[in-house]
Amino acid sequence: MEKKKYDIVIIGGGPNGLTAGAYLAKAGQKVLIVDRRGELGGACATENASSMPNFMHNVHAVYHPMVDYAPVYGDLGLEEYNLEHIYPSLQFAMPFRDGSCLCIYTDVDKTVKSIQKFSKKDAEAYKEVFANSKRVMEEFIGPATYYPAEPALDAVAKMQKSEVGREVIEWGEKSALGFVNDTFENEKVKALMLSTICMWGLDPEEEGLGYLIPLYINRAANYRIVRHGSHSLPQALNKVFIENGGNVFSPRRVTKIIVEGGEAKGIELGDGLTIEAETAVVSTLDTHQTFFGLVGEDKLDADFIESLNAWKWEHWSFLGVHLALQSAPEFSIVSNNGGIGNALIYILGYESHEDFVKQYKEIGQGIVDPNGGFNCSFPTVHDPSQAPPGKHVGIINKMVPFNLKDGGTDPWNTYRPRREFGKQCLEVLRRYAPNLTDDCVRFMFMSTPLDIKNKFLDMVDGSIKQGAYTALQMGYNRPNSECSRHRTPINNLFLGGACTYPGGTVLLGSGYLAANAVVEDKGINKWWKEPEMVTRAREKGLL
Amino acid sequence: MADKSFDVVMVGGGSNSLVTAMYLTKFGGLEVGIFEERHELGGGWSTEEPVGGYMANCCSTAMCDWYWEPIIRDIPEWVDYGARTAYTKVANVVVFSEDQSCLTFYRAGGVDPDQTQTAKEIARFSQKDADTWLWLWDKYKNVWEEYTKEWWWNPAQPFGVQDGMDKLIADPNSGVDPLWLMMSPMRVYKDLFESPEMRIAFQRPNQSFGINTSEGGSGFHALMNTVFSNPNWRYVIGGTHQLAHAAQRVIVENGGKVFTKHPVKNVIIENGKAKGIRLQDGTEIEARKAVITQVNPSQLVHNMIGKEHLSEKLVRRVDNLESWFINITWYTWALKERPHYLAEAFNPDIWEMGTCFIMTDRDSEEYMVRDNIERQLGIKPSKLNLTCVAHGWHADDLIAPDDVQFNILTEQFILPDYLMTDDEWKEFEQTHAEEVIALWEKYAPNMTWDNVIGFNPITPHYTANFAKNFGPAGNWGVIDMCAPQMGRCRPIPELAAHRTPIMNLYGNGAAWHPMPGAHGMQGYNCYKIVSEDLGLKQPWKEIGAPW
Repeated sequence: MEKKKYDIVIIGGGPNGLTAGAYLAKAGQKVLIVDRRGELGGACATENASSMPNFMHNVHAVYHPMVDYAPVYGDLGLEEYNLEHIYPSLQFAMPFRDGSCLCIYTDVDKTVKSIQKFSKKDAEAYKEVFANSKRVMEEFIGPATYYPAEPALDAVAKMQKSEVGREVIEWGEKSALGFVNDTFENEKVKALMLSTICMWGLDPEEEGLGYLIPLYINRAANYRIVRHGSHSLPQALNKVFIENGGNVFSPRRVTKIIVEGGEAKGIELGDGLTIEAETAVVSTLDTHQTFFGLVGEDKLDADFIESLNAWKWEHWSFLGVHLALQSAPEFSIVSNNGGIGNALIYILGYESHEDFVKQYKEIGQGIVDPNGGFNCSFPTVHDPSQAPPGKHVGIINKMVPFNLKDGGTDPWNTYRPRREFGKQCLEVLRRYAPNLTDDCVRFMFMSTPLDIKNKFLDMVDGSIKQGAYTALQMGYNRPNSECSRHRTPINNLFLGGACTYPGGTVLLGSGYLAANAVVEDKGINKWWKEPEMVTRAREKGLL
Repeated sequence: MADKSFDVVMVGGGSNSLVTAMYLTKFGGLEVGIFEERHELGGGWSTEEPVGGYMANCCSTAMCDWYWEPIIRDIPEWVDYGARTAYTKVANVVVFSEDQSCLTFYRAGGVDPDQTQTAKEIARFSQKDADTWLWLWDKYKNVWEEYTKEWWWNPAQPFGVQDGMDKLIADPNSGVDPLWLMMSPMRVYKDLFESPEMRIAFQRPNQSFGINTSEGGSGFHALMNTVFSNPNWRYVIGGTHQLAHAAQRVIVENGGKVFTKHPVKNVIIENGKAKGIRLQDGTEIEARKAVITQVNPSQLVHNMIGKEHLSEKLVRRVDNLESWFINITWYTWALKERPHYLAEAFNPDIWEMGTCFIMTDRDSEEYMVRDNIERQLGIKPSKLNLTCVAHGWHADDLIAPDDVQFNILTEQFILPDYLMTDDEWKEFEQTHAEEVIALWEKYAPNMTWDNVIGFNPITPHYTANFAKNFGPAGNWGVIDMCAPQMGRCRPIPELAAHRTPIMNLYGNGAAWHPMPGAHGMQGYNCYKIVSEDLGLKQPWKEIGAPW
């Protein structure tokens, strides 16, 4: 059997695998990334499957939430590799059937003015909540995202010592729906707040994850898109990685993590190649693939297996409808609300928060409401390079069930029903942007929950973050108390995917923290500095 | 003052540029900058996912054993990094609708090296043709193969200087009848085979190579390509674009820099010498030693150089190049289950079809001629004549999701892009899909719309808009493969050996000697020329290889 030798082998070349790879390669390690897919970057995919080329579809990740916090961008100097973000000043527009529209701007005063048209009280409430969210974000949540998770009791003990910490604890008890109902009076304002808080799958009624509320409220004014498409991020990371001596084998299937004497020694590929890992194996896959598929249950103790089996995938996924357009959308509300034709994200189809709650409940029952709402975006309005000159692309992302009450996953897997789902979304969109007629739509590319699962084995049941965000699966419990700090019960085996702390949505935190764990345990030169925000939070005793 | 500076600046990051760049960085030790207009490198080495998890090659798909041979020899790490191929037991199948019989070519390498199994299948139609096939196979293995490699993997020689092809024809053991050189492909196949089935099994793949079956002067090239390829197909594991990823890994680790989304405006020329390039945004990039373009000959002459720098005759020849023939639909279908062909009753092995699978009739010889004439007149072909290209799901489990392994491509020759409007193409994309499924169902009854998940509707309109060098026709060979545009004449004799009338400026790409394809021949030969001019390391010389 052919053998090769590396210091570190990373399984999975998504944003976290590439991040870990780039840090470790820059630390002088000989690193290999192996990925089953040919295209690296995981969900940071910009694709072209269309009857017309050069319409760039950001099929999965499009809005990047933590660009202003993730230390990765600065540490690795990704700007030098043509990575550029676009930060539109109008972040969200939520038009309603009566011609009114709510907006969230990067400038909080403008947002407050927008809300005032609906409720003066809610505008004041938002102003206060946003100011709190900003403080909590800057002082605690932001730094904590890039600092190892701590056991809940230790964390709470630290947090109780400061005002911000106590505030975070207070948030923690709330559900999104409870918060929205307690804080705002106007149903349209509630609709906007609830949908921005829950757009990544937070259950409106889940309690115990309330600290995510200020995070998402704050991030709703901080979304960025990547120039030329999300895939520019993995392209840049890949260049840093290879320039520092990293190698990539893809598309290659990993069939085994070799464990001897409780220690990870390397991996086997399906085609007969063995790769020895002198120092570490880092898996960025979900826990089931890593431990059940690659390590083997015989190498694990029963309690650990039980904790893995308790893992919950998300019960919802995304239906993506990607449009190649002859012209930009013209929202009929623009005439009533000057200057909202260039929002980054539109939330459409909800008249009140009740609509959102109803849709979320129906997902649990396997139902897709043809009139249901969604978020959508037209990146070419902000970055014309993502389509041929004068043309545009549009993205609709609708939360839907993986398993449909009628037909299971088969409708997601059959040409004509797939198109029907797409057309339903397009009909809803046309109520707001009537110029998007069949003539204007050059091509419609579909991405269903089943497609997500087929593309990414770690997104089980279309679960976009390697597992649900529930109180039991976050923080020190993501994915469980033994692995959330990126080490595992197997020596030299580290985890660095979205199933580990801090989680998914291209935070880059899991890969970054996994690299930190490897260098700390293995005495490797840590060439990067702790982020200043982390040092500050530590000095204040928050971390 | 230039904004950036490299030893060699490359315009376009298509397949041949990547091959040249791998050699320039690894063996030449030069600093290379590649400037590409698209978001990804690779040009025709391109793969997309019309349905998540199902890979669809947008251009090159079916590969032959002889692709990239010296490149793999010189740069073995390219294979580790992803340039890996696979094949299946059956290489080429032609099914006839009249009785659902089929003619099968078993793969030579690893399956049927002496082609006796294939000969048995041919004998079901004609014993004489089976004998002829074994004679051709013997000639290929023992005489033609080495000469042809010498011809492929060396730069174009001027008229009068003997090249590999000249040696082959001159060799008394080659069995090549000089008349074949003057004939059309159809005439050569008729000269050799008595059965229509065997002739069709050569004519339709020959069309896929881009050669017009009824055009005089291209018959021997057509015969060679089809003899070499019919039992020799393979494909890239995980999709053709993996070749580009793997090449980029080689280039970047050897210090090369890649700039996607960086369209180039023109080459900067001073005193008859190429000094660098100017990007569309006005940025200037200095080339200390050379500029290599992978644009088409017309772009090279008119956009990159400017005709004021060139002779009137050269410009006229480039303007007269033909590019109306190699325009195809290239639909990759994501399927729930594999097609169950009626012809499996005739030969159960055919479901193992690896690459080329032709659904046709016995009278297709006639309509292949008619289809060429119709298309030359700007008329859509009156009948479909489909070739399917299937990634062998037995050998490549990275091409489609784990529990379902079926994606198949269909190819139909059609009009050049410029003969229809965008609206007309949009309508055609859907009606063609309906026609393909209706025809497919006749050969495989389960091939209804209920078995379809999605498809990637690539037409010449797509290809022409994909990258400018494929325009204006959307021709996958960039220019046609007619007799005056092959080998040392490709694209024109004055340019065929990559040098141009501008010092330090080289042309590269599928429009150059010897023929189009994803094989990287031009990229390899271009390095041979550049390394000679710049005195760079030549790894083939160190091992004394003739190519």
